[in-house]
Amino acid sequence: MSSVRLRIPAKAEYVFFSRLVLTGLSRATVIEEETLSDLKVAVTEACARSVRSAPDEGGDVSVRYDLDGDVLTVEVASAGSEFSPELLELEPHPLDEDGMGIALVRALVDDLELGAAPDGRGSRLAFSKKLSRRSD
Amino acid sequence: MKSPAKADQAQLLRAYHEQGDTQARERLIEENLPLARALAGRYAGRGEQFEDLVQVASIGLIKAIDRFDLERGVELETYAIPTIVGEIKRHFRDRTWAVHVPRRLKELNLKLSGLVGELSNTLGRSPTLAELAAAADVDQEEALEAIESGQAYTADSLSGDDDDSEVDRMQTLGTVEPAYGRAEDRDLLATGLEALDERERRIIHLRFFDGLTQSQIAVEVGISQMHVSRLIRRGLEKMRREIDET
Repeated sequence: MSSVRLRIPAKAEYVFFSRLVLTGLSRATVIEEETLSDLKVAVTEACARSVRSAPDEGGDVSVRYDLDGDVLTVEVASAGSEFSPELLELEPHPLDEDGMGIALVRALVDDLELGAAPDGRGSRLAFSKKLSRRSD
Repeated sequence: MKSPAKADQAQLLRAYHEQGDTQARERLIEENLPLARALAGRYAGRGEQFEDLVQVASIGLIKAIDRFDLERGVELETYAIPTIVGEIKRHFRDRTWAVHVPRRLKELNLKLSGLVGELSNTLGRSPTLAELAAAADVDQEEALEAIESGQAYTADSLSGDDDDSEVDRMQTLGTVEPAYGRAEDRDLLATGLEALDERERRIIHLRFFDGLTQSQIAVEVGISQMHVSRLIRRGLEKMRREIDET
């Protein structure tokens, strides 16, 4: 299993780094363009949500990419506010920025987990996606 | 985003699907267009015009409304999001994704190379990544990927007798094929650049990265062409020494 970790300030202009890591990974392992695009959109949504909910003093967003066989898991954790109970529902409502972002991630990945950050402060969003569709 | 009340949507869907009320269908489309636009926005800036993507997303929305199953017991939005995204992805599959990636990056790299020159002239300085990406109508990330894939400069290319030539090296940028796997070379180059002072670095950058001629650099920096020539020679010498020591 290989892991890549990224820590960026919770600011919009840093979000694109989270996508660049995926581009880098796509050179280390084979990721179809369509899959890569799905992953990029998903990680962008997750990080953008972390940025929107960042505490006033800023803070960081941690992104962790774990490649295990042909499954990539991406975990985005930040000190931002936790997910509201409405967002944890399968049909997030109201469909505001956060609600749509999460619905979009859900539409693009195989697996999605929402919860509290590992240290209990902030939120954690993790999703995984199979990189190839051959061995089903 | 204006979100129509749940009850309204359900009523409209029923009116359309059960009674064939086309006005209800139109209202549903209209009220959910912000959703289609928002999703299209997530995919904009990848060589596709936002307005084109909105069109594609709207087709997805209409499909979602037309195919919506009242019995399934989900919200229209829940069903519409994957349908709209699917439509957008189909659009990319037919166009962008069908093009071989290295080739696309290479073409973009060539385009960017040209733009660096143009923008440097109009701005009087090297453009930032944001400016470059905006001019090429791609997002910054894609611009960065393309630049990176084309940066095949090596320590070797500094050993040529460039000091008096006015050959435009820009022509070689982006056409050099073995673009990947030259990270070590770039690291070496970065090491070399560190040995330079600010003015030397700027001149080396203008000469080799932006492809300006010595005369153009002279105008840009406000010194004579002879002086530029001397500084380039001295800079390259410093870089070579620094790299040899590494």
